Amino acid sequence: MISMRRFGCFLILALGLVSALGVELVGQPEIESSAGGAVVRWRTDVACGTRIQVTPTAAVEVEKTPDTQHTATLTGLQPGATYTVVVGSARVHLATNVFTAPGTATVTTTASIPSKKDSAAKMISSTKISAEAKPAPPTRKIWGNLESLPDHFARHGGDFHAKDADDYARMSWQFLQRAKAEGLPAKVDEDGVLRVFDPQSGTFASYNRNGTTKTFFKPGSNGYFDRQPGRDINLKTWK
Amino acid sequence: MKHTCPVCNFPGLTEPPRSKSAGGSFEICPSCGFQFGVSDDDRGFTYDQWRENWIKQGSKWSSRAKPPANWNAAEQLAGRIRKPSDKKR
Repeated sequence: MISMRRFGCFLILALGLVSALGVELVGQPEIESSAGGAVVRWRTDVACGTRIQVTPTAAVEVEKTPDTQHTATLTGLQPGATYTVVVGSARVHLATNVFTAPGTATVTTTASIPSKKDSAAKMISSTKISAEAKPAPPTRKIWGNLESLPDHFARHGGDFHAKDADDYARMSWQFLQRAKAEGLPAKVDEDGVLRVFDPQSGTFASYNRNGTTKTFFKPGSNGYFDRQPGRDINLKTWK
Repeated sequence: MKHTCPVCNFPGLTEPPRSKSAGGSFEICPSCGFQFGVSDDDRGFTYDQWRENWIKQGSKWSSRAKPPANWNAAEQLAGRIRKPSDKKR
């Protein structure tokens, strides 16, 4: 009897380890929000633990048993506040979503999905999901110099598979929201210009002091962000 | 206040190509298409190289936006040559 219990514990641990190393997201997370709360659902190809990180902090309930179907219930959300949710297993981050409750819109989600064949390799994709969420502000409030937007889109929109200039501008805004939530590397120079970099996807963006975007692209040279001027800042606490 | 492109001498840039901290403005010159802080700091072009390529390719207006009335690349470039204070990279 005792040996069977030990075997059972070993099996659970072994399955959990295998799952954590090879887990992949199936489809995209779904978010249903209502007044003061939200339910986040996602699927994985193998059973694994359910992990979710919510910024700003909210009360979260998740199922304890490893599974391929994952549900997290968020409560105590502030109406009108924008939340970033990072879903995954115990070991890997699978996707990041930004939403505001309550409201109805379509948001762009950046999903970072580890490759099953090579756990070090990451596949970055931008996918649209329907969610009860606040849309990005209109392009005229996102982009600093509107006259230049078509040129920036023509040159860099392909880096993000943006479908048009508005889509490209919206992605740059959402990148900043995610950068603030996750504390991505950032610098601010003496003019108040912000530079943000995501080492995982190789994405770089620069923003004016008022938060509007100057440019948004993926540099091709090594150490590009390191060569940028400015002092390092913590985006999670930077105002 | 408008600023002059150090590559093609276009006088309508909205920002100085380089800030006080020496960072690029990230503005794309609508005339020659040079992006300050990207064409140079990332792609490795000097102002002279970009200008030479632009001229070789016909000195065409680069932007999707319309050029100013009576815009003339040759006259613009000639104006640059007459300005000895311009710095070359």
